[in-house]
Amino acid sequence: MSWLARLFRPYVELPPGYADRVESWKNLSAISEKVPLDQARFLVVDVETSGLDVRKDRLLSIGAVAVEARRLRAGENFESILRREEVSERENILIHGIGPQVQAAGKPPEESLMKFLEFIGKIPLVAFHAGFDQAMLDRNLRETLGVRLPNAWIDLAHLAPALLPEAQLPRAGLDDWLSYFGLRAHARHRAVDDAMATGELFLILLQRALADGLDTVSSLHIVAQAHERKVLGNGMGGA
Amino acid sequence: MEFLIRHAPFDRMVSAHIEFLAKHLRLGFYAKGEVVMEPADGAASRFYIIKQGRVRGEMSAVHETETILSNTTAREDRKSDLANDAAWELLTGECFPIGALLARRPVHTVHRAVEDSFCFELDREHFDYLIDQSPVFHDFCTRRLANLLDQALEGVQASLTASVSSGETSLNAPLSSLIRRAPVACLPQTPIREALLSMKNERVGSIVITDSKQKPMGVFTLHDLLDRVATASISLESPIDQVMTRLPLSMPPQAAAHEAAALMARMGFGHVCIVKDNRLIGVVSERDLFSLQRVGLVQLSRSITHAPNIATLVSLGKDIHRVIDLMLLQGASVTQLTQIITLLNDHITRRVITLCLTETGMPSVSFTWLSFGSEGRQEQTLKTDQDNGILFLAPDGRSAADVRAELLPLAQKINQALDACGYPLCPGHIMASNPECCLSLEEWKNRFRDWIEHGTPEHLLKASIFFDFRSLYGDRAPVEELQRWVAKRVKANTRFLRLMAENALRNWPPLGLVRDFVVESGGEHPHTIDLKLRGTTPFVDGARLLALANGISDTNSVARLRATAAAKAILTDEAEAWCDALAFIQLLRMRRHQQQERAGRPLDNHIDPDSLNELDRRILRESFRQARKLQTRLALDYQL
Repeated sequence: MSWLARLFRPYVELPPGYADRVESWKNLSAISEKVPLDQARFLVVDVETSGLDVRKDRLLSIGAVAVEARRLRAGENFESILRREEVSERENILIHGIGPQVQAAGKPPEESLMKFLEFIGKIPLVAFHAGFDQAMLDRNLRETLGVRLPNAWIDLAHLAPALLPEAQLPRAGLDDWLSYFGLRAHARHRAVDDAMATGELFLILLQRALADGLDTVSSLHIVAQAHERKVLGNGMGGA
Repeated sequence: MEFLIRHAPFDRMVSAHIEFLAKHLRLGFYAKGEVVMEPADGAASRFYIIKQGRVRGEMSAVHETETILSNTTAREDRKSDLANDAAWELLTGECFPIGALLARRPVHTVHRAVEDSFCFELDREHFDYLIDQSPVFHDFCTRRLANLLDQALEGVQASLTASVSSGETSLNAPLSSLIRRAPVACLPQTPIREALLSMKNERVGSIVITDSKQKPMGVFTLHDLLDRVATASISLESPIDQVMTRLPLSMPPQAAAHEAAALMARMGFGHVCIVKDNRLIGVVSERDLFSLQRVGLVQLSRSITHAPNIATLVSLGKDIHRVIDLMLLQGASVTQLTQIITLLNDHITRRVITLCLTETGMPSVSFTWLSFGSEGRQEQTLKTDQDNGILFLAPDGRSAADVRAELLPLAQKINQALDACGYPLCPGHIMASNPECCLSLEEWKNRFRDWIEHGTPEHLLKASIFFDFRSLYGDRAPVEELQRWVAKRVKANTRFLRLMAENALRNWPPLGLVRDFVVESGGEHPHTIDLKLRGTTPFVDGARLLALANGISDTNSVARLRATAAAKAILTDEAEAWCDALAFIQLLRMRRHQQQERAGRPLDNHIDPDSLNELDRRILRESFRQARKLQTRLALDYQL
């Protein structure tokens, strides 16, 4: 298939039984971004992949945990490993710890992704370096289930420095923020544990946002995006 | 839920209940200074576990006005001081508000995050379900301190067991579990030769003599063979009842091993008959109780009681420490341990007195040897000074001063001998050789009356030592009369009681607001807590006051608290929690002393809280909180 054909492919051939499930997901109503911040529900997401190239590398596992009304609901979590025939490259196995056997024992990708869709609904999503998770998930969902995520994404990599300029961590990674707050992921680079750790960071940021007078989901967006533009601007200015 | 399984009591819950928790717990974040819950929220609706950070409980303004009954400004000032002092802190792994959840009431205190904190929370319905389903959780919530203590004691035993070979008998086991075989017994008319033959055939060192209905009448041991048969030239054809020890010790099968050990030590017998429905069902020997130990409790008591001279007693004193090590290993509780230490110290003191009397000859008047302070309370640890005195009844026609002059040289001799045996002379001269501590019954009453009526700070200090007295040697009756007299006098004097209460509030437990413990900042022992002054003293002072205020003449702190509860002056639950807390602090002191002794260092009561493991730190904090509760109670009682 040429790149052109792939681009214009009208729809994905869905495995039997998935069409109805995708349809009912599509029929879920959108979530307003005007929901009060102290009541809103979010899903904190983390993905593990075979590499950092969002176009070529494979999605290996997805982890997510719910945050609602400023509480991380540890029991409402999602974890799925995607079955892959090809074995992940050695150095990456060392990072995400998902070896060939585990990958082979995972669920079929369409089932993992469908379950994920059903878990998240249209709830706003939260991640650290959300752009990566978003791109990875978008590509896989489009290729496998033919859907595009309408969910809002909030990127903590920008929200954190925007709300906490005093930390002076404008371009820090998740580990920097975790150690800034003395947080500890139980098993870093396991998708669900990373999501939990990210969720804890998000609880702190929510508290800070409310204290700063932000009161809706969209206001979080605005703050995070403003920071993103500022960093990008600075970056270009420096270049 | 790796977090949960690292913290008590969750570390002991079955996995199904952990999973239930994991499913229903929510994690919340509280910024420094944020309120987690407060009385205004109404009946507590959530159970919290601190995942990270610190939460402080503070008396809310509402609660203060509710409880302040007095109108005077001075009292209100004191009251708000007290409210401030009553604040406490909870750390990672700790849970709240259990009491409020169980009682379906609002919390009494504002719970505020002292630093950025994460808390897990569980809705009340799930909390209730867990209490109902998990015995471990139920036990933790309803008898929190006792539960943690059980766990800590298991830990102590585990660590000690690791360093010694295993297979020791738990002293908490029932005697029935120690019966190894059917008892070897014979009738009273059995010839000695025949009895010896059955002992040989059965390979036992003792035989029980029973009547035809198997009721024990006596015991005969190989040890007795030497004394009573061989050296006394008794015919082997004589009936065994001529040489047996009559009235053997008997206990029911459900009695605990430590009770048998204590009885053996007190009576100096090495065997206890286990009797059910008046019939012998087994024999437990000291060797069964202390299977591996070289120096047994009975053997030690016996050696002390028969020591031919002071030099022998000096070396036996060291064995006490070995026995205590072993008993700690075998799971004896602190109350048992302190009582055994006291018992052995009593034996030594009595033997010292007897040996000194043999040397000097009996004085012309009888006297009673008194012990004061921790020995008087039967709460001795391995570090102990002398605190003793003499009570005598002056015969007609002789002045007290005259009798005193006769007794003082003897007292001097005894004090010196005790010093040689490892009980250092009292730096405060509370010793029988001090003329002020060698008094007739009338003089003691006059002295105590003076204190009770005047109550200067010095009097109060003395009362805190002298009012914990008991007799150790000699006629007990006048001492008991004096104890009853003191209890009655003090109870009737509200002014003195109030002064005692003030005194009992002087040593606040070192719970900090900023850190979890307040440690000494300088001095000889920086960064430590004085477990005696800050730990046990508040309980001991409180127990004394409660007992005397209720006319109770017991001198042991645990006995005082329980008697006060029996008199309905305090709640039984309160009393038990205070006894547990006192026992735990004593346990820490004893462990500290053991370590110092092994390292050949002088013994002291200073402990660095950072050197404790997490569980012990938590229990110590809980124990200090109990001390505050006791003091708060006294403050309310006496409106201080």
